[in-house]
Amino acid sequence: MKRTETGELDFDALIGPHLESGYRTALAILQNPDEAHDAVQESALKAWRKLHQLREGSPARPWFLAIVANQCRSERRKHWWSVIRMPEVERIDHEFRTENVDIDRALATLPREDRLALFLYFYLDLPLEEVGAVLGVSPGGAKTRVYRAAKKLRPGLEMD
Amino acid sequence: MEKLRSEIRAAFEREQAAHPPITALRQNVVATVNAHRRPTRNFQWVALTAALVLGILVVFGLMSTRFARHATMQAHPQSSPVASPLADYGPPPAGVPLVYVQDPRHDGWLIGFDWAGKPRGTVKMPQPLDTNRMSQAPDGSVFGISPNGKGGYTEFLDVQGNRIPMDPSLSDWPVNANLIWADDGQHLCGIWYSPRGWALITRLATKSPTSVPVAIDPDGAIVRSGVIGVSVVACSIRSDRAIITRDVYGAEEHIWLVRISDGKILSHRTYAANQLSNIVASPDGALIVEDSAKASGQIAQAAPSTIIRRTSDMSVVLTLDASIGVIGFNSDNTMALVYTSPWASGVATHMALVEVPTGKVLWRYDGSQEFAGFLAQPNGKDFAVMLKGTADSTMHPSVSVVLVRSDGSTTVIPGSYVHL
Repeated sequence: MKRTETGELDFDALIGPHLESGYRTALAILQNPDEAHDAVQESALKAWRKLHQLREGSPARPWFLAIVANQCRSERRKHWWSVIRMPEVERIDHEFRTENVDIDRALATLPREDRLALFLYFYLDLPLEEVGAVLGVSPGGAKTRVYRAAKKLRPGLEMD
Repeated sequence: MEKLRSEIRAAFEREQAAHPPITALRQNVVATVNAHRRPTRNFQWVALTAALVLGILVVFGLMSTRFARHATMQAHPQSSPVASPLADYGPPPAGVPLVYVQDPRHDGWLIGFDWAGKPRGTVKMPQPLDTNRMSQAPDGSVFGISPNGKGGYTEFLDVQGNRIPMDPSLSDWPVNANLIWADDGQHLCGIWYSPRGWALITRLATKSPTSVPVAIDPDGAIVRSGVIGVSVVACSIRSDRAIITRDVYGAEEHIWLVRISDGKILSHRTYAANQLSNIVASPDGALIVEDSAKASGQIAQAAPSTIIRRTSDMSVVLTLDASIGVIGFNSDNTMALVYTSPWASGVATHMALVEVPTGKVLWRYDGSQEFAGFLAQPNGKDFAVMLKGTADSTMHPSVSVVLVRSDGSTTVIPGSYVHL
């Protein structure tokens, strides 16, 4: 693990390379760039304070992304109201029925934890071990989460 | 799976491409972090001092926030009425919707403010007048007097303070029928039970009513229960619709959408006991709200959300957190006044103005006063919100009046007045 000349853990070397992934993860959860930037900034400060908790040899990326995900969940909980817009569109069960789904819209309507699982696995290409570390579940549990989320997009999907 | 993988990846890429990170993200974040050096054991006293200073700053910051809010929302926070700046504004102008409050200096005088917050007229009520429960028509064109406080109006006065002659046949009608103003500002509506069954009554203020039977209780179970709790919560003469509810704690709750002209039940919805705290409707009957019992502070299991529905098809318009309760709607149903902390006597009420189509919060009130009532601007978008001191539990509390605009701006009417 990289350390500075004074013996402290080198934050820039450890976490710096993962800040962009952190921002992108926050954006995937919060879907708001300003909130995502705030979340990654706050997560970095928390990571800095907890850097000593990162065990020797443990990968920093899932550890930091887990902090980001928790920070985003906290931000969501702070919102004292939640809104579900009901636009004049066909109902969800109709939308997901055919192969010609609007994948963008379908992803946008997924629960945030489902979106996070898909984002980590399909977009960031994290291995299931790291997806599980971010989600706080075992690799097997991560695989199930990803599969269930994907199945919401394609009900007839069979896992590879 | 591979096809889905590429589709999902492409979708996320489109989403991410729209909001790339700032160019110097890493440098900025690392610089910020480096500016927050982790304290070492040797400098614990520094951390302690900093924490104390920060604590003091936070306390002062919170206090200043409250002061600032009071400055904008509580022009006159004192609980006792103060003299109004002027005394007699003359006869109210005809055809101008006004918000009325009582002049604290003159018994029986009502001051009418227009929706810009300007005093426009004084109504001098005849004395003595038992005004235990007086209410104004939505536009302020007439006042109803309900001596027993149960909603039945026994007399009406015009804006000159003159009693309006009543139709003699009205004496045959129950004064206890819970009457509400219809959306035209002219009619009153109520529901009444007689041995012949339930009837929806509609009348011009002082004229003999029309009555149509409504089969809301075909097997008589509600009447037999002993606790009836049936009332009209919306009455739209314009759209020929009324909303009747049975809203009783501990019992199954009901909403009926009824056609006024013939009493036909157009839809009926029921709820398990203790799931809702309140059922609210827009004045035109187009929207109803299922306020979750959580919004009243209920700890036990309750409806998971507060939901606004269209009555035409009962589709969901907006879902709010269960802790939020809708108080009412403005005239075109684009705005909802909500409370964000349980509305309880003696406790400050936190409120917000929410744009119904989007859920956007346009105004919030987190001050120390208690909600005392509201009026929706006739044919407009604004609200007049009455706020009172939490210690004032009188029937006619001293209130300050805040006009809340649909853009979130507010006008506080100077002075304290007495609530009707």
